[in-house]
Amino acid sequence: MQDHDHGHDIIDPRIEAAAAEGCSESRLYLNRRALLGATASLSAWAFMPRSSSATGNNDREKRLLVVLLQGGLDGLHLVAPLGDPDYGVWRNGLRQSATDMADLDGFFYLNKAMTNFHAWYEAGDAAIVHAIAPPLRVRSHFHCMYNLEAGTNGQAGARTARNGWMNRLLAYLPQGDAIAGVTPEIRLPRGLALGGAPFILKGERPVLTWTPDRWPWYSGDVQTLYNASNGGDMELATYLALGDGVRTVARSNPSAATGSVNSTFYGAGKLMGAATGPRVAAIQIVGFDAHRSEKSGMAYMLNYLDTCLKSFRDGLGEGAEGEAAWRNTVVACVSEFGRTVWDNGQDGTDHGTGTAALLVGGAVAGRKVTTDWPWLKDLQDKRDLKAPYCTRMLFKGILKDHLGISEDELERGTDGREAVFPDSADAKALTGLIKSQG
Amino acid sequence: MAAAVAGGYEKLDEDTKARVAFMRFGFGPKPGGRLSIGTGEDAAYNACLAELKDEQAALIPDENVRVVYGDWPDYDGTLEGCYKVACSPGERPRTAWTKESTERYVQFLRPRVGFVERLVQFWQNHFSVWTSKASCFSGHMDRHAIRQNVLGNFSDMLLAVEKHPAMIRYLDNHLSIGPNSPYVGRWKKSAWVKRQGSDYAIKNRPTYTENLAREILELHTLGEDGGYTQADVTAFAKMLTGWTANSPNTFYNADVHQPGAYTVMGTTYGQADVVRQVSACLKDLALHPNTAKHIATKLVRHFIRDAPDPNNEKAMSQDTADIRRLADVFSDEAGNLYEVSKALLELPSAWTTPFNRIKQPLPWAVSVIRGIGTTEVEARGFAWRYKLYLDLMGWAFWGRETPDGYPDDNAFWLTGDALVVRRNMAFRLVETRMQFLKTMADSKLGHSTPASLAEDLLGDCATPALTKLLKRSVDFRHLVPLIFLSPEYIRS
Repeated sequence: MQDHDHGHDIIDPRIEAAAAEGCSESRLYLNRRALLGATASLSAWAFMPRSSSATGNNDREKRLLVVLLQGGLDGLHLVAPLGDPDYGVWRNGLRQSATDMADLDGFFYLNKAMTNFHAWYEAGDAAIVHAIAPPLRVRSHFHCMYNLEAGTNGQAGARTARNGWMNRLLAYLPQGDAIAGVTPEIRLPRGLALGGAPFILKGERPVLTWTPDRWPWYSGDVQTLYNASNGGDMELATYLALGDGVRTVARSNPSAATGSVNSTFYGAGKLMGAATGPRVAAIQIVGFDAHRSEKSGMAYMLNYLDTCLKSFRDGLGEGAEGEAAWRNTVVACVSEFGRTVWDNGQDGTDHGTGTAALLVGGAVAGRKVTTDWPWLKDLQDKRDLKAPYCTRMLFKGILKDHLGISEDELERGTDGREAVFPDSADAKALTGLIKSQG
Repeated sequence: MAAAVAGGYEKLDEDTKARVAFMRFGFGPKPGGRLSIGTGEDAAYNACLAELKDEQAALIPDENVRVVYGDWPDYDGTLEGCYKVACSPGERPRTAWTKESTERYVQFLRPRVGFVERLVQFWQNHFSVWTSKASCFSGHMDRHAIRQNVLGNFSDMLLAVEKHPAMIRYLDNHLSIGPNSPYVGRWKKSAWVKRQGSDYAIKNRPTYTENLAREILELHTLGEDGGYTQADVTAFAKMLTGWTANSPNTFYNADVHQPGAYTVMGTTYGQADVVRQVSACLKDLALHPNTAKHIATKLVRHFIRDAPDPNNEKAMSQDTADIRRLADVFSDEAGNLYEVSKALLELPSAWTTPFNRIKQPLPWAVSVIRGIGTTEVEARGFAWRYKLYLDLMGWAFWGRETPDGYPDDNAFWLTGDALVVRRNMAFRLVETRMQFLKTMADSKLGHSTPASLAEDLLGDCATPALTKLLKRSVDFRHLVPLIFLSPEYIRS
C-alpha cells in the first residue's frame, strides 16, 4: 500500500501562541480539539477492548452474516444424500461415494473440500438446511437472486421491491451508538455491506460499506482542510474519519495474500467483532454456476468458501473476546437456486430448484441436517430437487430465535415500520436452528 | 438581462455566480473555463442559458458508440444493433454497454458549463433503468429517448421512454399478457392445456403485470401522492398489455392485448388499438397538474436543496414557492422542457441558497476529470478506471436496481466509505494525469502553482483555508487533489 500522508502537523506554534492570546485565528486550533473528540470516539469504536466496553454488551449482542452464493449452488454436490437410493440413478460422472466424502449423519455426506466447516459441524457449531430455495422458482439467476435479496414472495410479476430485507430488518435492531461531540448527530450504522453493497442491504436506512482497497490508499492533508476554522467542514471531517476508522480496523489482515474476497471476510470479522461495530452484514461470492467441469470447479469454489469462513472466524478474534463474539454469531450461506439432479454433457449441471444452505457460528444449533427431504424419485418438473423449504422460512427462523424479531415484526411490521418479510404467513419459520440459551 | 433573476441575485459577486453555474448547474469548470464566460453581472447566467439554446449539443450519434467485435457484426448504435447484441452470447452486450458509458465521459468534457448534460442525467435518473435487465438498450434509450427530447417536450420524452425496449424489458411489460386476449383464448383451447386437467387453465392462465403501469403513474408522471388509485393501476396495466418490444419495428402485439375501454384518472379511453390508447393516455398523464408538481419537486431536490425541515417555516415557504413556480411554467408551457429548465435557472433561490448539497458521485467525479484538463483521448482510455471508483461510491451508469432512481438526498451519498473513495480517486486521477503530461513535457496542468489552478477554477470562492494549504508548496501531486476534496468542490 502506498500512503501519501506526509505528516504535516497542522498545529502551527504560531497558532498555538495566538490561541493563548485569544486571537481569532486560534479557532483553527480549537476546532481541531473538537475534531479530536470525534476521531477519538471513532478510534474508541475501533479499538475499545470489548471487556471494558461501557455497556459490556459484546456478550449478548447477536451477529448475523449472510453470504450470498451467486450462480446457483449444487446442493447435491455439496451435501450428497447418499442414503437416497435414487442419488446413484441420476448422478453419473458427478456421483460421489462415502469414501470421498465426510459422513454427516449416515444419510447426508459433506464434500471433502469443506474441512473447516466439517470441524465446526463436529464441534456442534455448524449445520445444514437441505432442499431449500427462494420462493420464486424460475431458474433465472437475476430473478431468483433478486427475490432472495428483496425477501418478497414468489408470485411472478410481484411489484419490484424498494429495499432489501436486511435493510428492513435494521429498523427492528437497536440503533448504533452516536459519535460523541458531532452535530448533526451521526450514528454508527449497524448494517455492513461488503464488497459492492449487495441489494439485500440496500434501502433507506444507512449502512456501513467497506471494500478492501484495490488501489493506493491516499491520505493527504484532507482532514486538515476539513478541520480549518474558516471554510472547514465538521460533517465531512467526521465522515472521513469514520471511513478511515473502518479501514484501519478492517484492512489489517495478516494473510492478505489469500485474495480479496478472503480479506473481505477477515475484515468483516474484525468489524463485526468490534464492540460498537455493525451487527448484520452481507457479502456475495460469485462463481457457483457449474455448467461444465463441475467436479474441479466446485472443489475450488467450496475450498474457497471454506477458507473465507475461516477468515471470518479469525477476524472475530482469539481469546475470550473472540469466543464471545463467535458464540453470538450466525453465518448463513444461501444460493438463488440449485441445479439439475443429473449431470449434463459437459460434466456439469444446469439451473435447477432445491439446494442446500449452510449455517456456521457459535450460536448455531449444530451437528444436524434440517430437512423435509423430498426424495429424488419425485422431482420438480422431472428434473430438479424439490424444495419444500424456502429461504424466507430459514431467515424467519434465524431472525426469530437469534435476533429476537417477533412474528408481528416479521410478517406485518410494527409502529409504521415495514415487515421484514411481507405476506409471509404461509412461510412458517424453521425451528431448532439456534442453540437454546442457558 | 439583469432582470431575469432577482431576489438577492443582484447582490452576489461574479465568482459566487460562477460557482453556482459550474457546480450547481454544471459539471465544474475546465481550466480557463471560469474566465472564458467573461465578466459582467449576468455572465454566469448567460453561459448556462447559451447551452440551453443549443439543441444539438446533447446528441450522441449512433456512429460514436460503434463497437467492432471482429468475430461478430459491429454494434452500430442503432436499435437494430441493440437487438442483435442483446441476444448475442458472452460479453458482447457488456462491451456495447461499456462503450456507451465511455462515450458519456467524452460528452461531459465538451460543454463549457455542462448544464444540459446535467439535465440529461436528471432525466436519465427520473426514467431509471437497470442495465442488468435492460441490457445494452439502456444506452440507446439515453441517446434517443432522453437526449433527443431534453430541451423538447415532456410528453414526447415520456412516450419515447415508455415505448423503448429498455424500459419495457426493465419493467417486464413484454411479459404482460391480457387474460382475455386472443392469444390466451387459443391457449385455453389448446390440446396441451386440456391434457393438464380441469382447473389448470384457471390456475395457470397467463395474465398481466402491473409493473410498468404502476411505475409510470408513481414515478414517471403523477408521483407517489399523485391521486391515482389501484383501479387506475389495474386499468392502465390491462391497457398496456401488448405494449411490447419484440423487434426493432414493432412495439405492440395485438395478439396479447386485452381489448376494451379503460378509465385512467377519470378519462375513458375507448376501445382502440393499444398504440392509440396508450399514446393518448400518456399524453394526458404528461400534462396532468400532479405531474407538473412531481417534476418540479424533483428538479428542486436535485439542483437546489434537500427537503427542508418542516418546522422551518421560512425555508418551507421558499421551497413551496420554488416548486409552485416550476410547476406553473411546466403547465403553462405544456411540458416544454426548454422553458422549464430556463425557469429553474431563473429561480432566485437557485443562486442564493447556501452550498449545502453533497454533489453526487458522477457530477463530482466529472468535475475532477474536467478540472484537471483531461483530454478526450485520456477520458476514453481511463473510463474503466472512472467506473471502478464510481462503483465503489455506489453509482453506475444505469446501475440502480430499483425503478425509483438514485435518491437525491445528502444522507444517501455522504458516507465514510464514499468519502475515502473520493479521496483516493482525486489523488489517483491527478497522479495519472501528471504522469501522462510528463511525456508531453508539461507536467504542470498549465499552471505554475497549485494555488493558481485553484484561482483559475474557483476564483475568490476558494476559502482561505484551502488557499493557505495550497500555498505551502508547489507539490502538484499532493496539493491539487485538495482542491477537488475541498468543501467548495464536494458541496454544491
